Order: sequence, then C-alpha cells, then structure tokens
Amino acid sequence: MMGERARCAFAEVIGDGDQTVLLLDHRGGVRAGLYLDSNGRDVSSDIGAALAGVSMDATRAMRHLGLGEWKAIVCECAQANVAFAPADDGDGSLSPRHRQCRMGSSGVFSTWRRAGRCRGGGRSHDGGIRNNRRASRASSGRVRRDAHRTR
Amino acid sequence: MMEWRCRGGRDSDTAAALAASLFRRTKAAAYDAGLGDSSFVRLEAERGRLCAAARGDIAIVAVTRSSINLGKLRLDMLGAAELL
Repeated sequence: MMGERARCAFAEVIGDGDQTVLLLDHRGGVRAGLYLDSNGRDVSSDIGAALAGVSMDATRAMRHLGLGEWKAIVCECAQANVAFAPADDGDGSLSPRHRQCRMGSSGVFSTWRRAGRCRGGGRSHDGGIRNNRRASRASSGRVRRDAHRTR
Repeated sequence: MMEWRCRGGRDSDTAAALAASLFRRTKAAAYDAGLGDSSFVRLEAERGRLCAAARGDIAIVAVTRSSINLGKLRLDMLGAAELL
C-alpha cells in the first residue's frame, strides 16, 4: 500500500504546473504520485495497468530496429501531452530488477496540458492535472522532496 | 501491415507489430487518464526515433534517424493520416 508521502512525492517538483507525474514499476504498479480524474477518482492504477508492458515493448522494438536504448515515449492527445520515460534503476525498491527487462523496468509517467486546450467548453480535466499539488495541500504532514525514495 | 518501404533488410512485419503494440498501449493509457484520443506518438531512442500517427484502425509508422526535422515529419504524418 502506497503511503501518503509517496502519493505526494512529486508535489513540490511540479508545483502549481498543469501536470502530474506517476512513478511506475515494471509491472505497472504505482510506486509514487497520484492521478485524480475530473470526478476526483484516483485512476493511477488504471494508468499503470495500461502501461504495464510499454517498457518491454519499447525495449524489444529498439533491439529489433537497432536504435539503441529508448529514452522517452511522448504521446500527443486531445487534452494533454503524455510522456513516459525509463527511470533510474539505482534504487532497487523502486524498480525490482527483472532479467528480461533490465532497461526501463520502471518508468515515469507524466502529463501536461497542451497550450490553449481544455480551457473552455468540453470536459474539464483540472482534477486530473493538478492532483499532485492538491494531494500535497490535503496532506497534514510536510512533503519531503525525497519522498519518492520511500521503501 | 498494409504497406512498408524501408532500407536495409529490416523485418517489416515484426517492426510494424512492435510499433502497433507500443502505439496501442500508449493510446490506452492516455485514454484511461481521460486525455482523449491520441493523434501522434513518438519514441525517442539513442540513435533515432519511432513515430506513429493514426486515424481509426490505421497507423502510419516512421523509423528515422535522430537528425531528421521532427516538426516537418510530424506535420507530414498528421497530414497523411488525415487523408486516410
């Protein structure tokens, strides 16, 4: 079960920016961060589940295409941009080593709002974009910058 | 895979399958996040990029060197996807 410190791990980093960050392990489990949808529901695990095999797919594709190690996947969506990058594997608690998945066994999922989008009309995604900060404000304890190193 | 043009002995079926899988997963995650439909996905690697633009069930995939003009490629691919 992820603690409050882990949920608010990126709050200070992203500040009031229209973005959110999740740290995922190679199975798509959420290790840090929080993503609330427009209804206030935590959809972090849904996103993690959808991204579960992305790093392995990317690694296989890069091996086949001879492009070296992958550094980032960026997806342009209607409401925002999404980036997925392999995280540093130095911290074993964050990214359990897996023989078939040495590179990119954990990843950082980040979204940020596209300029000029999602302001008027249509569905508001404020809840989904500013959730790390909101969670930080809601927490009673002080959020430490190194909270992502929670064991 | 409907059509493939490439240089240098790459297995186009496998490359297309990997690119399609990558695109599908990323698209699903973005949809789950409530960010709407994906129009363009790119994967950055040490020695190049894998780009995909889709409309409906059909995707255009490009494997390029890092030195290419990404902005022009993006516009060309999105324009081509519109024509699908």
